[in-house]
Amino acid sequence: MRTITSWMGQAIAYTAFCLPLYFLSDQPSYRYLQPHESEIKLAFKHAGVPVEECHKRTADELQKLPANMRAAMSCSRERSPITIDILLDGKNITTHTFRPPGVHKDGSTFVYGKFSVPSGSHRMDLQMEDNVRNPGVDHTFSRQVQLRPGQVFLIGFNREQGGFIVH
Amino acid sequence: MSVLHRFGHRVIQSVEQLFNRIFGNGWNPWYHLGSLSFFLFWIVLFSGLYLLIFFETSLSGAYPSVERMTHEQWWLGGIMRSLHRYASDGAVITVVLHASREFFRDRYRGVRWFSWFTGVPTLWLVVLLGISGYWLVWDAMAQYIAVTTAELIDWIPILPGSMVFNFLEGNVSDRFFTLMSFLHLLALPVAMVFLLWTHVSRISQVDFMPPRGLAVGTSLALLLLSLIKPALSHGPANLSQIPEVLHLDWFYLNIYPVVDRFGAGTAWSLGIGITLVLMVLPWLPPQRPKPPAFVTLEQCNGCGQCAKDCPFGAVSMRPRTDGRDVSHEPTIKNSLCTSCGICVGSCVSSNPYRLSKTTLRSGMDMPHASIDQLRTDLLTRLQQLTGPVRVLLIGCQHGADLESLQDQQTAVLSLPCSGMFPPSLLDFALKRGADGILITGCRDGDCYYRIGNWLVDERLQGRREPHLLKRTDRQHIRVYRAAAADQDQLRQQLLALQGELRCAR
Ligand code: HEM
Repeated sequence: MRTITSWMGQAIAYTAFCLPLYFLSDQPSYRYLQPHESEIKLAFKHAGVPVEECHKRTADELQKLPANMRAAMSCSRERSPITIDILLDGKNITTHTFRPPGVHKDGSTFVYGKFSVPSGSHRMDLQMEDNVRNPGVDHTFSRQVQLRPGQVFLIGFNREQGGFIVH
Repeated sequence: MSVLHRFGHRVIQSVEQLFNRIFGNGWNPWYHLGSLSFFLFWIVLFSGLYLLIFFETSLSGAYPSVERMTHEQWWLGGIMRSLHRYASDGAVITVVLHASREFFRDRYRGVRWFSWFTGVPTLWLVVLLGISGYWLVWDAMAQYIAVTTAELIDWIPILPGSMVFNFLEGNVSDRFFTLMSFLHLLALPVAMVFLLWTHVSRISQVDFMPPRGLAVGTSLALLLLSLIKPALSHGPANLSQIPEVLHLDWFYLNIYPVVDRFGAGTAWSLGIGITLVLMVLPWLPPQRPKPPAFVTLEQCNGCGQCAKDCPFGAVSMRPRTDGRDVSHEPTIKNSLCTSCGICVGSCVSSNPYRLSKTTLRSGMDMPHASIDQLRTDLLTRLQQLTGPVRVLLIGCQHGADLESLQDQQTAVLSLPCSGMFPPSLLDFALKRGADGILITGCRDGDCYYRIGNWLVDERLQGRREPHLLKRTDRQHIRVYRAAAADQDQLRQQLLALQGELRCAR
């Protein structure tokens, strides 16, 4: 025989089971960005410049190669790593080097990163090095940008379209 | 058992005792955590099938279709959505408690490693089902999940690191949405069914459905919760904007803040580390192996009751090999035998009246606790009693401490499992001098070997072979099951029986 106390006890037990469901199914809330913050997202695919220039093989070099591999030109497949600097109002917020993928480091590099920054109007400077043969910055971008709170500010790059692209 | 097991088990037992008082042993949710998890998955499945009728599996159609269900059809679609969410969340609780309980009860090592080992990957499937489900809503939280999952996957060194490019503004790929729909609606549920089937494949008489009272109570509780707090979405996904604050479901999405704070590498190490530790747990340290049961064909009539009763499917029947005029004989798969001795209790030839020459030989026996030894111990202990009444206390080694209750009036037989004694042993004990018998074992609903208590009850009530003989005086046979924490109550029961027997004299 179940008594009133036992039914009440069961009600309490079911409530105890439901309490974590009630709360933990959407609380505590998770603050992804602070108030008045925006996110800068760097995302593009770019092939760094080959680390070596093609050169004509000397007779000596050709001699050392197996007969079926004696191509006149020698071109290294390895590409330069890509180093990016982002400056906001003259202050560096990140410097990161992305290595080319593949065993021979010959693939296009996937550049990806995200950074939370205060919203509002900022001077944004982007600098990229993608050529180890030419020390120093290879591509730059500089502009006053307006960042809304919660905005994802996407930075891409396309050599054909003239370099950095902001959305 | 280690200190950790003992301590954890004590704590769980105290909670279970409280629940026994409230729910009764039969409905105690702690005794049905596996089947309760199954039941919650049934709710998830049925509510999910309903949602599927109205859900649009496309990137642009998903969010509005979920919103319509939630708001325009709140009275059914909305409730189904909430049930779907809360039953999934509830399953995380029951599965974690189920695994913890098996651990503290030390039911995951030795022969039982398999259920544990196959349980661990189900945790991954459960979490993946939850994550893919939240993805399908395609709201701002789904967008966050998609991007962060892509970051997690891109971290894996051999991959090109380009998945995240599918979730950029103006570049969202429908491919992943289709993949998620396929995973959530078909592939993961099918994998789950397969894995759960494997999980319980080495045990028989599986407790798939919780008792009706518990199922009804759980459904009502979830329904009420769904009405009080309907499941809602965030705003629609918009890849150029991210909400500052996300209302994460912590049961399923807890890994994402770890990725944000500590990086994908840490999240992977944590996930894989916990998985590996859980997987090798049955061997840290391994359980000392116990010798398995063995068959003596000359004593076996091939009835097959042992195969029906074995809780772990270790006994199966095969065509007879000794030329006797019966069709089958049992064979034991040692790697499945937990040495519980239940098959000895199932065997008609374990009848103690069947003494051939000087030893009792049974078709099924245990090397370390033979039926002959049991019979001898019974006789010796009964003979040693000097008190005014003589009681046999018979039970198992996983409940209360029986040996400490032995005195001049009480002979104790402590077996690997109470399902090991054949009912004829009770008749034999009463004939050989016992005035009464107190049968005990693990608490009702909580048999260490899963079904030992149930088998004893079935046999005593004549519902299962071998029956208790009709002529046996049932008046003086009592059943009171007790865990280590119920030692005092068991002593009281023993004293009460002794008192009754004295009065009856
Ligand atoms: C998806 C969730 C799961 C479900 C639905 C489930 C269900 C079940 C069921 C119904 C049983 C049989 C209970 C019985 O009849 O005695 C069982 C046994 C068992 N489960 Fe699970 N389980 C799940 C996950 C897990 C996990 C994650 C673990 C541990 C890592 C685990 C460990 C065990 C063990 C060790 C047993 C065997 C107990 C024995 O040998 O007596 N289970 N499970």
